[in-house]
Amino acid sequence: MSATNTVPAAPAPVSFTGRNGDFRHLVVRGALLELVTFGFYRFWLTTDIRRHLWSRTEFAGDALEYTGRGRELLFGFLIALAVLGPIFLVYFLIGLEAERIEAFASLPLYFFLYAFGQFAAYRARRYRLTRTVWRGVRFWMTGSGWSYAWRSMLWGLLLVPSIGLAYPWRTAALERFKLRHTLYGNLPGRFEETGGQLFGRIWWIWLLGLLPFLLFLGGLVANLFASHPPVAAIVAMLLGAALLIALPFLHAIRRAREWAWWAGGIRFGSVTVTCDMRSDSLIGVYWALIGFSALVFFAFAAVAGGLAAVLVAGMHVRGLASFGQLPIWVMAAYAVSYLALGVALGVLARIYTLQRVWQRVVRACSVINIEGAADVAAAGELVSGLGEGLADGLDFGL
Amino acid sequence: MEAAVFFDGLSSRRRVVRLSFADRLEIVGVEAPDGAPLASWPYDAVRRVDGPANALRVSCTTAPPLARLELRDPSARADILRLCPALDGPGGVGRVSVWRIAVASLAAGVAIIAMAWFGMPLLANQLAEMMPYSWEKPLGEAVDGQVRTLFGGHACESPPGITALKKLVGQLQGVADLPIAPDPVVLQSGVPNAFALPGGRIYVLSKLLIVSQTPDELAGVLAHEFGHVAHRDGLRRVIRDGGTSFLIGLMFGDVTGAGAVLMAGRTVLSAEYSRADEERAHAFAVSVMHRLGRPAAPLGSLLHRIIGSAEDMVPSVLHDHPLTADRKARLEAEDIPPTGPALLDASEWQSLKHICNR
Repeated sequence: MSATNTVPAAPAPVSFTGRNGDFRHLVVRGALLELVTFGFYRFWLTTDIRRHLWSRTEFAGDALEYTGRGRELLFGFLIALAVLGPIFLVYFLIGLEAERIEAFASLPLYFFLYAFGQFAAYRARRYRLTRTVWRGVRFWMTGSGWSYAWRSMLWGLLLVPSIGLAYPWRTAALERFKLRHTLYGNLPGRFEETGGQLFGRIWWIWLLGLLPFLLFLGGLVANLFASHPPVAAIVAMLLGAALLIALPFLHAIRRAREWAWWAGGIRFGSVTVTCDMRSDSLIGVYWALIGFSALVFFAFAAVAGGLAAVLVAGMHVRGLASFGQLPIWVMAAYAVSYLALGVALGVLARIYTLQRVWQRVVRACSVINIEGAADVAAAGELVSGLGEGLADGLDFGL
Repeated sequence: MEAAVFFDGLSSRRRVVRLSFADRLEIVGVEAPDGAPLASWPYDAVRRVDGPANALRVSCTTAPPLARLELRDPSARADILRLCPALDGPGGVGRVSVWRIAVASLAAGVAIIAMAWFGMPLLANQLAEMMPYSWEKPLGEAVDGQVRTLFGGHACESPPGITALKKLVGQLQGVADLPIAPDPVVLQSGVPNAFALPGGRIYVLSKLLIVSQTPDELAGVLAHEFGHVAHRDGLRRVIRDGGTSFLIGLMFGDVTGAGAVLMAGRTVLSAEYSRADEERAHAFAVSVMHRLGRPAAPLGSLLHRIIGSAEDMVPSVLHDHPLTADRKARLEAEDIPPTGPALLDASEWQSLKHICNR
């Protein structure tokens, strides 16, 4: 025993014990309940998803616990409505005034809403953290949401002129800000990876990702201006199309590398997270999402096509005059299949972009020097769900 | 196997403990020399909280809120389940009643739909009555820039044409008596249409002038648009649609495609309203024409001609407008023969029709 104790940095395992079937059942049931509750069930579904994922994520054998409640999200949403209602009204009036002076002059207002969205995202993160408990001590967060929002905005302004090149440094700066203000009990967090390191991991993907568009565009332009489409242009367009198929692979690799970079940068006191996520570990996840989504779309198209065929046949028989006179059962069938499409896609997105990714990231991580968190005093107050509500109301910006 | 692990909720210290089931649940550290309990919890204060699948994790309402006892040993779990009467009682995670959420949501949904269906038109009517007419002006001016940009910014302004248009509009205004004299603009477009914005600006698209055969036909369409201005339909539509989409958005945060289906429903909803608006504007047009001593039936024939010629591009004047054959017949039956003088003479009419020629 004493021999193992002297090894200073034996990594503690991080494990995910959730079963795929349990999660699938949870989200399918939740999506159906969302449907019958006009979407109001989303507060409880979100809460249940977090409870599921947290309680099945173990650090050194002790599972996280999510103590948030759906009711808190509902109240946060209602208060957010009271805040956002007047803001949207003022926004509308200012926009009107701006349009009077100059057509489309109200566009800068979108920046304000985006900044507000970033503020809300920061506050929502604070809510989630204060509901995250490990070994009887909660995480919490300081820092101002506005301070985060203007950082995010300024960095965001660099994204467009640099065609995305600024992305790694922006992400690193924002993660540093978030983790600098994050604490576990009285143990302060920090983020120790840099934008340069992220860039080193993903620059070639960024370049390859641009290539199909450049090739395609180049081919198109060459086709337009040459009297006989030159062979080179056709080759370029074909190559562009081929690379388009490669995009999901590239995206999966990029996400995996970015997750590994992010998780590996997390520190709390002397506790260090490492993540040896393999670059190909998300490829299957994304292709499964694409495959099942395509299947769902085909099914929807088959139903819609079938309905249309029945309709056309009916027209020949009874001479229906126009589209305006669709029988009510056809409208209902379209509405039902459309809703089913939405539910199915929502379920797939939650399974593949949330649970499967979580599972793979968590399993690839381990914690070095977890003894640094062996006796951390509890600290931090709970915050309300208003941030989540605002983020819900402004979710176009997130 | 560790029988139980205890966290006191004050620090993250992980303590392996054994349990002693006295008159209270006593939690004793296995390393404690004197056997003094770390905590002692009343059985009826113990609550179940979220934990991993293979463990029972409990808290206690009389202990610090984050104090946790975690049991992986099946027999210890069975003991707790047997001894604690209120594991799912108040103060714990509890069980969320799906039925309650469903019923409450249904009630909220019905209330919101009722608000959108009945409340919003009422509210829009009331607000539109209360708002001074001058408030509509900025609303119209705000949209004006966009409308002109959409139509390529070509306003038709041949001076004799403008004179004729002003004469025609002046005569209509003489009877209609709108609070702000309307300000018509002719825009170059291949779509036969005319529309009014809040604040009284009326747009006539040049194709409508080409399709119109007599001044009475055009005057009828203009009088129809006067009706929308007089009834402040534009303002009411803005309030109504804005309010309705806000209410619908309130209901659906981010879920599924249900929002889109409801949006389609909303369009039907507003079409339903504006059909009533169109009826009133139509009645207004008929009354204005009759007071000028001119027939209203030419309006009907113009609309009929436009629909016949461009079925795919039904202009908004008619869009929600139920111009059925029997309505047209009724219009003709109720109509009066012309008693007043012609609104424009032949040369004025020709200048107006060629207002876009430079």
